[in-house]
Amino acid sequence: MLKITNIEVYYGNIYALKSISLEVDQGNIVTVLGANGAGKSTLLKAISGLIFPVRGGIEFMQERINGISPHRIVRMGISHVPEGRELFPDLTVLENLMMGAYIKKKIKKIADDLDVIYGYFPILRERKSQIASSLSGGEQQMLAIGRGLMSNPRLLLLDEPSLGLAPRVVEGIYRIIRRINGEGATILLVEQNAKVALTIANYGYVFENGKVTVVGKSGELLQNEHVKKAYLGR
Amino acid sequence: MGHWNDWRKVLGYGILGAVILTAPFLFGTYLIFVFSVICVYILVALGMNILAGYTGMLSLGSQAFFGIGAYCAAVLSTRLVGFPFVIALLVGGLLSAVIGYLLGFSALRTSGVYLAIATIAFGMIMNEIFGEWSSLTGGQSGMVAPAPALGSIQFQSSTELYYLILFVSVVMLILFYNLISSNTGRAFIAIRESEISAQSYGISLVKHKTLAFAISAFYVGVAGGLYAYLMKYIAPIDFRLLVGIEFVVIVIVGGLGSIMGSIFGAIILFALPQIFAGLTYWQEMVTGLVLLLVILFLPDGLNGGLNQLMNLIRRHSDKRA
Amino acid sequence: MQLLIEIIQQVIFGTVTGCIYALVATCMVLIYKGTGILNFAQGEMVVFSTFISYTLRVVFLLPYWVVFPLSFVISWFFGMLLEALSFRRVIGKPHLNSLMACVAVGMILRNATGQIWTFDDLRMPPPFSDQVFTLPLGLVISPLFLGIISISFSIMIVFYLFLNRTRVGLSIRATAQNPTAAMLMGVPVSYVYSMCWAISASIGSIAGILIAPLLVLNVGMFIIILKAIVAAVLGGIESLPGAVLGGILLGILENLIGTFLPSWIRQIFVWVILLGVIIAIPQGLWGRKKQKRV
Repeated sequence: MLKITNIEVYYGNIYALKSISLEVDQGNIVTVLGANGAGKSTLLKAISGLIFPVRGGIEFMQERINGISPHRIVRMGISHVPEGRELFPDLTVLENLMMGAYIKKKIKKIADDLDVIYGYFPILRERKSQIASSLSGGEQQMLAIGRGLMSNPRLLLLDEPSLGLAPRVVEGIYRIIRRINGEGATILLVEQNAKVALTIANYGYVFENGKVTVVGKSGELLQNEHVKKAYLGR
Repeated sequence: MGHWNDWRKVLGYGILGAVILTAPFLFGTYLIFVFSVICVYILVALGMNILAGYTGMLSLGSQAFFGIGAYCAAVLSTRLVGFPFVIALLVGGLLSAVIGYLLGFSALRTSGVYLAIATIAFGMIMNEIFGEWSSLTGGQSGMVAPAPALGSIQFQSSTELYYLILFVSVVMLILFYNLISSNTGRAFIAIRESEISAQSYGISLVKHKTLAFAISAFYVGVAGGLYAYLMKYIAPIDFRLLVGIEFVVIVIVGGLGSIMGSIFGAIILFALPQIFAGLTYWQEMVTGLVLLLVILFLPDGLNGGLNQLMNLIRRHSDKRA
Repeated sequence: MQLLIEIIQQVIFGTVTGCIYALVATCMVLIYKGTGILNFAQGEMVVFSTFISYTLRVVFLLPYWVVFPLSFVISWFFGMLLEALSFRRVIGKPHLNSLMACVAVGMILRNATGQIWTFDDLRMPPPFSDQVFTLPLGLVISPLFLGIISISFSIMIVFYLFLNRTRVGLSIRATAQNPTAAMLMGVPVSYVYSMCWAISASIGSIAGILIAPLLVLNVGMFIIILKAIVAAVLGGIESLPGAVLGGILLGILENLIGTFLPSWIRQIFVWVILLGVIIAIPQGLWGRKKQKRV
């Protein structure tokens, strides 16, 4: 579904991605692991169009998408839930979700989708008139994911959904992510918390200093000595 | 190879210096007047540069200090015949500095756009005072500024004024250079780059921001005094908001944060109206267009643009050699 | 008793001018919230539009019920044009750039207005009857006042509804709060910016038609912008309701001060208020305190 070939990406003046190749097959959850500054977020930004690679190609559903602006990439079916959530802080929960549905025209469909999201995250229905910045960390993350789903994406890009959240909360969110995947969404998941990411991913890449160092099915990664030492704390 | 360049530089500056010093004998009265005015605006530009170029604070109220300096010189020289002009200039400069220092306190709690607006308000208030305090300033119709004096000596002719202004300008320029190279000058630059980082280096924002305002006001105030002597007549309209805007235009167009930039800006801002002398109605449009084009395409001003050009030429000739 | 009547009268006058300050302040706050630029050229934009309206009314002899919407539409495109030609390039740059860009555009517009039409004064026919009626208690009112107040409030209400109850308005608010996220939602952010300028120019043109008959129409009228800035800052530069309240408050205060104190104090009163607000309550009367992000 998504095929990245040898992209080189600069983040400001920093040479962040030094020739990355990566593939995501339809229906999978693929995870990208690595330490801070390894280039994981930059990868997602390159896919969603916030940054353009200077070299290489990104293909989505066999169509070349690098160099296209973000607001058009969303319309092609890729939704990016950024690091730090990037909610609209003074808008209500409902308004944030409505913004997620910006590209959709039919009110009825939007209302149906809202129900689906509330199904995943019932707390959002409770808080729908509350200002986004007044929500707890976990609730904000749920809102960010829900917002990202409102555009019915085929590919969902999640950037560090576990960041700053308590383990119980993370567990809950990951359960929902697995459910979302079960209902048809392909997911590219960037995570520092390798342990929890590998519990739901089929496939994984490890980034170090802008390069891919380990690739494989999640089972293989869990057995990999280097991965175990560096990221799984064993 | 390098030696040749050095010789050429020294020779160039030498010729320039000689021309400046002997100008009254080479050029006519009007051109001498133009040179004098440019010197005044160079001083203004230096003052503006301290705020905008080096410390990164925007003031659209500096015309008030121009006015304070001008009125001080005019009033002192009128009321006290033979009053030494140097003292009159200093009084104007210091009074401006004190008021500027106070204005600087408002800069502590505000920044960016808010600061600019506050300075506009300040300028408008001062302008109103210039107009209303008729007993001192002659009100809206202004007042005459007598020739600068030193006891019984009077500097009347354009040549005498030229040398007087040149002298003061050179002194102020040297002081400026010393300031910029000093720790204080570097502190200013640090503040422009990042206030928070500067603070973590132990630079006191309070001390330096207020100091920057004071020094800037001093320069503009002294320039104002010279302006009064040169123009021989001043009125509140000479110190209106548009003038303050033009002051900022000088440093933006010339190039922020450099002495050469100040000089460029002063020349451009004064040369332009001269070129369009018959077209006063277009002056505002031309100034606006120049400013807009510079902001959109030459963010470092003409000085920066010239530097880029020089770099390009240098690189090209290096390739050849 | 006479004093009370005088005060009420001044409050009436003040509310009228205040409504116009409020409209122009709203335009400025919209651009500031939406793009982060403080539009110093707002006054000149208003004046330019007003001269266009003058031409429509006096030269083409169109009735006001045509002039209002036509001017609105022309100014809409005018605002988009200005944004495309100049302001687009200064978004996200330091304040100095955007501020001076606005000043520059203002100067160009001001001069252009004078060149295209005239630098002299023009008399703008009022959109409502400016006949003066004296009420029983000695109060003076006029249909013009009521017209100005009702149109101003109508615009502000429509604008409020647009911003808060429509999807387009939602996208503008969202973009103002987080342009990156808005892009990820599919919002063409540059269109949003363009629209902010367009709306601002249009509302400004209406404000111009309303105020020009009260004063004299000439190039120097842009001074109103400075008062609108005061109103906006007074209300809190990021608050739209603040701009409205600030404008009306300013209008009323200005008139009350002018009645009881010499005229030159009235002139500087506005600036003193501005300085005071900026120094003491920088977030304005209705704004929220901002924290510096590191």
